[in-house]
Amino acid sequence: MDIEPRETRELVADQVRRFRAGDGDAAEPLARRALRMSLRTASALMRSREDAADVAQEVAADVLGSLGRLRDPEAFDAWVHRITVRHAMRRLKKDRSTRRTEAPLALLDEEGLRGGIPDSDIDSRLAARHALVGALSRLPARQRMALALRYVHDLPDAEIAAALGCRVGTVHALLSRGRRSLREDQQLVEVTLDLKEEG
Amino acid sequence: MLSDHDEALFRAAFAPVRDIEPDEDLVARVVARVGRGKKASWRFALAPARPRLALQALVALALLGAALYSVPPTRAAIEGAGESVGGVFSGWLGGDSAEAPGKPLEAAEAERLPQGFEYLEDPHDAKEPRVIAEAGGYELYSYIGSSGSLNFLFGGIGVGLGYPSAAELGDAPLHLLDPGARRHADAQGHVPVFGIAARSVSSVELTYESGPPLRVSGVEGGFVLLAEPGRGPTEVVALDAGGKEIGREPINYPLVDESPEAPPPGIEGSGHASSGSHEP
Repeated sequence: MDIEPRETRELVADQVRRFRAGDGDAAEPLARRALRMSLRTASALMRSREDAADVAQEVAADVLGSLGRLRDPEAFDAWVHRITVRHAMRRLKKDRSTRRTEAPLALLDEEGLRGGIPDSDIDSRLAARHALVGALSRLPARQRMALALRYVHDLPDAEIAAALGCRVGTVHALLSRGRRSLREDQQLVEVTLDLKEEG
Repeated sequence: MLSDHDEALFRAAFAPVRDIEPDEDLVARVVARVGRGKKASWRFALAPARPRLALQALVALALLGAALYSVPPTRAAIEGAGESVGGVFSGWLGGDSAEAPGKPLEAAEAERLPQGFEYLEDPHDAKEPRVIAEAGGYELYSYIGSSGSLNFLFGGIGVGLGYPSAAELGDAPLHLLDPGARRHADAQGHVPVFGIAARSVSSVELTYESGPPLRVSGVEGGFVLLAEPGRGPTEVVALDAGGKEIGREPINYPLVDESPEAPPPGIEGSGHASSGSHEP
């Protein structure tokens, strides 16, 4: 993800102010932004596309439903990440406690990727997604979350710490251990090397 | 040390999710849901950096004051009521202070409640902040926000949780307020596990992968369990006055942060003062 310009953050902050002032037109762009951010995070963590969409929907509804409590409108993104962490952690915990069977991999919007992309690339991406979800599923939830925030959203350590509600030093440890585990996952290494070579 | 190769590998691994966009139906559903005025749930675990010193001071003060009071019994089990954790707090939120669990904080105590929780309503604007359980220098505080929300603060942890209504707590007789409990073990190797319980719950039992469970009796709406992470805590079991199990909730998240950190000052050497009695 590219670093967003200052203008984008100001635009979002302005949308937050307008929404709080009762401008219904501001709901759609804010909902879309919250959904996009949380869906990407959740898609790296959940075992099914439906679960990821459920989490994203809950996050977006919570974000918009409580915008009145957000003191700094420019903190919208940080707020979305924080709420995403809460919902995703709960979902992961619930999945474990109910011993839910593994859902078929359905994370990838294949239709959305087909435009102009060769089938071989689609296959590679599917394989990478499958390997990633498998490797991540073997990590503790907080390591998974920290890795997703870093590599999906490019968040710096301090912002990951804010989202997780922990110290920066803890983020260092989470990322370090998570990377080490992923590095040792042979299937993931193989498919991502394939992706790199194709890229 | 992370090599450039590793960094590229991780980026490649996550690449498939970096460009996902929500479909229009999903966007429309959220907008419609918000437009209908559906009250959204909002629960946050927060550990703001600045209140850390305030929290440490709070823990120290709580330890100093631990000998001065113990949380007295509140209205004990009321027949036919309080079968869910939501029921414990609904009366209080509805304006009946007699229904509230725990003990109201004195004004001076309330002033020392941690603040700076960006997403929680300010406890200093709160109605009737209360302490509903405590153990080993860790307190479970609760207060009603100015908008009527139900909030919890974990003294000694630096985390707050907010719920827009008691209904959000669910129908179960037991609810663990995780992952706010996560922190480093204190000098005795204990990690607090915070929870709330229905009035029908008179004791809770923390089970482990190995060794005997930890039972805390005298539970009246909330509890703080001093868990031993090394033994692998597995579940918290709710028991009624007759010792019959009426609910359980798994602990399937790590109790201890993975980076070293010193415990807050004042924790070392603290005992097991509690709203209930610990029976290891």
